[in-house]
Amino acid sequence: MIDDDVDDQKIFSIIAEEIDDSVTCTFASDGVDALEKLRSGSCSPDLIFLDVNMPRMDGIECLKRIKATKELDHIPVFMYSTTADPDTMRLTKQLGAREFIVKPSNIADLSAVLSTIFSKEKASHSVK
Amino acid sequence: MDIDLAIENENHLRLKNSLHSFLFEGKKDESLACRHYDCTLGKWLYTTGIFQYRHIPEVHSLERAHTELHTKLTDLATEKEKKDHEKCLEIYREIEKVSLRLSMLLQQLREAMKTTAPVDVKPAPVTNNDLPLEHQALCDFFMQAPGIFCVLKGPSHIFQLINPDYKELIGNRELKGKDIRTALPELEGQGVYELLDKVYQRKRTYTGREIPVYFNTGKGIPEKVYLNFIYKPILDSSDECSGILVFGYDVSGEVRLRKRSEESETRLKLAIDAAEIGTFEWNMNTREFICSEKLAKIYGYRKKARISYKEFTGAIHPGDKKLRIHAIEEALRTGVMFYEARITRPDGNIRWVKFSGKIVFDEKRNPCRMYGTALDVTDQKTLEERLEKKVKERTKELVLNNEMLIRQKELSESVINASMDNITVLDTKLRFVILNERALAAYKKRKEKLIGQPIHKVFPQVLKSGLYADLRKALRGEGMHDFNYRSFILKGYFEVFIFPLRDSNDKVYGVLLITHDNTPVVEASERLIAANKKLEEKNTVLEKNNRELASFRYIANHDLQEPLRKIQVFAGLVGKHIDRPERVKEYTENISHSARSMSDLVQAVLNYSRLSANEQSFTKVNLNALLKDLKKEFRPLIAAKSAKISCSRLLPVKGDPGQLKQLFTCLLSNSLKFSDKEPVITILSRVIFTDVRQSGNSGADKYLELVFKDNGIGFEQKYADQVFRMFRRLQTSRQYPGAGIGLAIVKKIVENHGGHIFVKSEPHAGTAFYIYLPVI
Repeated sequence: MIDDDVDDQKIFSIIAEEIDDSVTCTFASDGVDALEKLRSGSCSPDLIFLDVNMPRMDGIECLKRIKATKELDHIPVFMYSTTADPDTMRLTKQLGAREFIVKPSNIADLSAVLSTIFSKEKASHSVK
Repeated sequence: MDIDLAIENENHLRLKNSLHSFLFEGKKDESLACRHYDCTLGKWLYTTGIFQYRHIPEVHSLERAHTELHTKLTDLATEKEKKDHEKCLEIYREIEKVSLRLSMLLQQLREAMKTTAPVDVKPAPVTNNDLPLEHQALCDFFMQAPGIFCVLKGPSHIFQLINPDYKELIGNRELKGKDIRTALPELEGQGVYELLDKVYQRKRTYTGREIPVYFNTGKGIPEKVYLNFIYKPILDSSDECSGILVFGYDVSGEVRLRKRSEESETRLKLAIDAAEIGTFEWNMNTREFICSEKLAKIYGYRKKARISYKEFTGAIHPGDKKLRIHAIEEALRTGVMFYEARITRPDGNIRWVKFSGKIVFDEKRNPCRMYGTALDVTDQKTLEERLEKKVKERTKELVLNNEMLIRQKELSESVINASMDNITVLDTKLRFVILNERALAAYKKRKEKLIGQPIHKVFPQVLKSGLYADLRKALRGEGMHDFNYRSFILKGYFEVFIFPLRDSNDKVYGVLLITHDNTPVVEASERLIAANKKLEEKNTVLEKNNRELASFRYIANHDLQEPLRKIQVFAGLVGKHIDRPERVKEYTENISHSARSMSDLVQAVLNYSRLSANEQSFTKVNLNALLKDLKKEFRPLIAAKSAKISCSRLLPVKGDPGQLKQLFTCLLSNSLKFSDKEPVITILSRVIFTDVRQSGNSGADKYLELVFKDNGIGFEQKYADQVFRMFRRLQTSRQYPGAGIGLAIVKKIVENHGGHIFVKSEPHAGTAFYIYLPVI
């Protein structure tokens, strides 16, 4: 999960753990940090959750870069942001993001969203 | 010779009757041609009468009358030949008188002869050249008597006696003893010799009247002389002719006079003829009316040569009879008659005749005769009438035309006076010709003062304003339209039209100047422009406000919803992990944190919104003192960060002390916050003159430049504008917390003070803020 907001990081990890304690979360605070981690290989996630508003390198830029990298472009990227701007949503979809998730206000919704994603991912993995 | 006078009387009366017939019926009578010495009475008189009865005065009167009668008869014949009717009548009248006299004398003589015995005197026959005493006496008489006398003797007419007058006539030549042919050779070819011969042979007296004869009077060329003369044969006792008595007198003067008079008369007659003037004579006593053929012609009588008085007056048109009577009455008073009247011709035609005449009065002032002329003036009259008619018609036409022109003039005057514009017409010398009412009112001068005066004399301002130049251009044919002309004469803004006026030959004869008062329009447009400017200014303000509003929306949307979301989530988590106290504690702290940041934000926003430029509350602010206070307030933080702050001497500025404090607080706070090493902050100032119109809004030229420099983390210069925008944070809020509103506040404060701010920065190289505040 790439987000500059530590609270959001905290929330995400709590919910994710609750859904499936086998899931591991790694965090980056901005695009630069994220790419560093991804390219170095210190992190090879199955899923990427990417915030849009971040300093140094925002989510759009980061998404582009990820999708440009051959080794990384196979990883499904989910945009995870407070903005609900339709243009941004369309753009990210165009750039290859799997989905655009607006950060919910209640945990039940977040829980529902994440569990759906995880189970889907797990299912596809088992096919492989 | 014996005679019966009574018979002679009858004879001569008979003569008169023959004359009458001859004159009025054209019956020719040879007896009329009888000469006075050829008729019986005449013969008797010259052989016996005047000698034997010379003591009876009647004989001599008779002889004269008798001669006169016969002479007149001959004259009449001549005049009749000439067809001179007036003359004929005149002579006839005279003949009547003479005849009457003759008749009387004959009777008287008859009576006298009864009582008086004839003088037994026989004329002594001239038998030889020597003359007896009686004849000498006669000769003396001849010499002294007036007239030319001479006595010729013999068949070759030898001059025996010549009187002095005769001698003088022929140039005092010696004629005595010479025969006529030798003595007066110049008479050759003039018939004189032959005449003398005839008289000698036939023993008949010859009377010549006004016979022209050429004599050598001694003046070189032969002179023409008119003579009345008698050649009388001198008979001896045996009744044979022995000589001729010549008696005559020079009538050249009378002849010439008469001829001249005749000539004038002829000319007059010709003139009258040519002028087609008819003449008439009206004898008021005898009621006799004589007129010329021309008059008859005028009256329309082609065949007649005469018209009667009845015809003359009768033809007058009934409508003009009164006029004629009036003219005649006038003439009887003044002697001059003049009138024009219509006459009706026998064929029915009506002619206009001009009558003019003169009345002759006798000694008693009674009118006796009227002489007049008549002229047919029908053509002139008709012409006159036609002309008069034409004149009347033309006058009517002209009057109508004039009325129409007047109406047109009135209409155009009304139109130009009704116009709301000033209409002026100038001539080729730019003198005022026409001004409408509006123009007069605008110029505020009297019409008399303007008309005829050149515009540049009355209003010299036009020379400066350019109007004069434009008017001159118009005289060359170039018109002008200036939509917005500032007039110095009328004080205001005008739309000006200048038209050159051209005549039918396309020549410029004047200039038409129309000015339309645009002042209200211009003033309105100026007001509009001013209003627009204000609106623009307001717009700018509104736009700024809008931007701020947008920012507010952003805040509402993001920076407030964010912490709110977090609070909700954490609250949910609290609920979920209510049985885990350490978790609850953690989550509630998170909630608090978010709540606080919300509160900070709201506070900062409220602060910002409260910032207004209230120039009225501006005072002189001592910046040095302000900073000193600030340093005191920040001492703990400064000490904690081991920051070093140095500032040069700052000049005072005019402003709001509170806001300026806030400004410096923000900057100081930022510099202390955004540093990764020991902060070194410097504040410098200097006075500069700059044109900061592009950003500042005070327009002042003298500024205090403040440079607030730090050695903090800096940022990329490309974000130099963005940093001043609300909530634009370039750093993560974790690392460098803050609402992100500080610099926005700083910028607003600077702008409130009419200043300008910009920033220079480089990552890791520190940041420098350049603030320009207007200096007092």
